Amino acid sequence: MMEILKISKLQKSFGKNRVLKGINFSLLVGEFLTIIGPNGAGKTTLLNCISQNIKQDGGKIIFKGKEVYDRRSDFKEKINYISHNLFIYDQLTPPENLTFFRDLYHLDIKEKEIENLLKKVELYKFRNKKVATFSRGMKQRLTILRAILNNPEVILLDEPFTGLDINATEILSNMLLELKNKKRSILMITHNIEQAKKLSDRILGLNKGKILFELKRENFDNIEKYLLKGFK
Amino acid sequence: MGNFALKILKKDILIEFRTKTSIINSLFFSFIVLIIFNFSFHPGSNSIKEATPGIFWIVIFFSGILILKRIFEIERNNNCFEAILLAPNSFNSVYIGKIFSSTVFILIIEAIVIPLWVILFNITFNHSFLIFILLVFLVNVGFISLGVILSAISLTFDLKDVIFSIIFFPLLIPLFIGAVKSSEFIIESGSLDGLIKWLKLIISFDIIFFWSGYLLFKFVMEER
Repeated sequence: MMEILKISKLQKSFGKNRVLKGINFSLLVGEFLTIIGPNGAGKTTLLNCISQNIKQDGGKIIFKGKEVYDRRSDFKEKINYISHNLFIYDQLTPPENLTFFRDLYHLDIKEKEIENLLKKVELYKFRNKKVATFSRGMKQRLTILRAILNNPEVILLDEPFTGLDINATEILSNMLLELKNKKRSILMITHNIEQAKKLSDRILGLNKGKILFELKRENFDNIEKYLLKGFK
Repeated sequence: MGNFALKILKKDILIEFRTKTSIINSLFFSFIVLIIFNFSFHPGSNSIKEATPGIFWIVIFFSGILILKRIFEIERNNNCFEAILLAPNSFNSVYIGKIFSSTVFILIIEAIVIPLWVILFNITFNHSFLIFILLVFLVNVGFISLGVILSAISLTFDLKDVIFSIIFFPLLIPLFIGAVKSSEFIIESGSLDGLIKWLKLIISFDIIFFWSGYLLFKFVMEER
């Protein structure tokens, strides 16, 4: 499979605290890659650097063979981000939220298509309600619609299962698998080992700003051994 | 850039229309302060005539600060600000969008406060009222430009109130003096030369702080 994203010697510090100490890995087209690690391992900082939300101190982010920093706007058009922070406005209705984000990405999506998307995630009948009245699971479904609105080639997920009940987790897992089947490349960071094992093609272990191990699907059964060794 | 800024304005207006937080707070504050000052002075006394421009600008600046402090708070909800910055638009267009939103909200406050102030303090304009409106517009530009950049900086600080009191108020002093002195000239029929001198100060303030905010916003966002 072709490499879509390559992270090379990525470094980031906050003051004297070196959060990322030369991270290297690649994400392949259509791959679901998960990075797991304890609190403070540098997972969210890593995603923030990749999404261009914060600037790295050193190293390179290469998207389709070209360094990202010089072509930031193009890159942003082709990625999106799903986080435990929902990135949707509570005071707006689902169509108003999606229309706003459609406009932010300068997309040519008609109102009818937005209605169809809402039907797909069973939010259509709540289209006139403010998001503030929604459950966490409903908000997360809307968040996913927001994130796939620009048809991204790479989707970044930051702890997407946080705060979801079993039913909502199942819906979200299925939506992510559907995206993977459509050859979207997905990079997820999570604490949730079970979801990581269920969804991923590959798992990387991150701790203290360094990648400690890499596991392919056939070795997922040994993950606990690696976690004990790497994260103690 | 302008199109993106207008989308932010449209969204902010819609949210403000639903929550009514900023404008109602500011209007209530303005109304209370005008009433208190009105009762503090003897009607028709010289002291009230001298104090009216200062009272007006105190009301506008403090009620405006209530607006400016909230202008990025809308984006804190579910961390929406991150989503805006993730979109493929220049950071500066976010700054312009927030300038637009703040301007609309503060103009709404001014549209209500100015007639109330004129009636309560029995103001007569010896120079054209249009010159006063021009003055209000010019003061708004500097006040909002500075306020929006500080509001953005305060997004990343827990002590955001401190930023406003330690940085915003001292920096506003030249604009406040210019606004009060210009208003005196307009109300009391002072010479146009004197007025122009103060307007130059206000325009300089506008240019310095609009461009500083515009140029700094990108760095504030990248280093947050």
